[in-house]
Amino acid sequence: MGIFWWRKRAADRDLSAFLDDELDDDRAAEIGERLVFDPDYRHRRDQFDQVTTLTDAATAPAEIPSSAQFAARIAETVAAGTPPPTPAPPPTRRLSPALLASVGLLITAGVTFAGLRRRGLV
Amino acid sequence: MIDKPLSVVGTDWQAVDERRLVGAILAGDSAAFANLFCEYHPLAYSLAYRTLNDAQDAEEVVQDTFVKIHQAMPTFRGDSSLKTWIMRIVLRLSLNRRRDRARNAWNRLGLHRGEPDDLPAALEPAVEQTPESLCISAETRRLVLRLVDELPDGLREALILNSLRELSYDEIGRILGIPSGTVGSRIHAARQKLAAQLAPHNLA
Repeated sequence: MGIFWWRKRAADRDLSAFLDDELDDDRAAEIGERLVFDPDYRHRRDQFDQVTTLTDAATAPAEIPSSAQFAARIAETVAAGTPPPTPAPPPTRRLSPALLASVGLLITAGVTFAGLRRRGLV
Repeated sequence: MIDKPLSVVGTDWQAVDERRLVGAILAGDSAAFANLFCEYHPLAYSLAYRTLNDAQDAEEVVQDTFVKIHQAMPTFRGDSSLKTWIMRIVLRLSLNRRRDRARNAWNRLGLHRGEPDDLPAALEPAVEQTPESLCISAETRRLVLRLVDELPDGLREALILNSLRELSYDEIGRILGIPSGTVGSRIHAARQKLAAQLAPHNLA
């Protein structure tokens, strides 16, 4: 890591904001100028561009369903005041740890009490 | 309140004051609500899909969102824009669905106590062919989806909201409840991480 690593990181972050058109005019002009003269910076821009293109392509929906057909259904639903049917999540039969611990304690206490009683200690 | 009913389908709602639109919906104008839905449905669906990577889940989340919006409309104070308010609800419901889906998958497979080093197929992102993805191979798409999925939550959410191309850093910040400077840092960090991970595959 170079001695001016923080400057490099700030320039890198500004490059990302530049690609999103989020910089003020003066800073955008500085970045634009640097891109003309700095091949490493241009390479970095190309990397970010490629990441953006790939991310957008990979995550985009196949198609946006028609809004009109759903608008009518939603309007009916809200007019009726009931939520649309959504599939229930698959049931998960998990006993709570507290319940299991309580049952374990009761069994232990019962066995202990029976043992002590058999020996005539209680 | 409102001067006249807003019931003309096709009205340019962006030119209409949001308070007036909210007033019309609260007054029971179902066409106004239908227009609100048509206006924001594509963006809401896109965000839900990009978060969940499943068309059916995304559509259900969007429907739930608009039902909740209708119920919560009387509480909308106009502190933020309708767009950021709606997108915040979509994101929250999508993340809830994502979390439930992951939990159910782990429980179904009996792996919820195992080490998450080797993700089961049920947790890997599904790969559907999309028009945009046709220009990248299925293998590349699977890799990119996996890498995006593995990003820390904060970075992934900022990156996905930014990938919609319709939200400024400021709007993303209001949706996530963080300053716009932090949004820029997170998007940059996500790009940096992805670039480093894609480079060995000659993809960045």
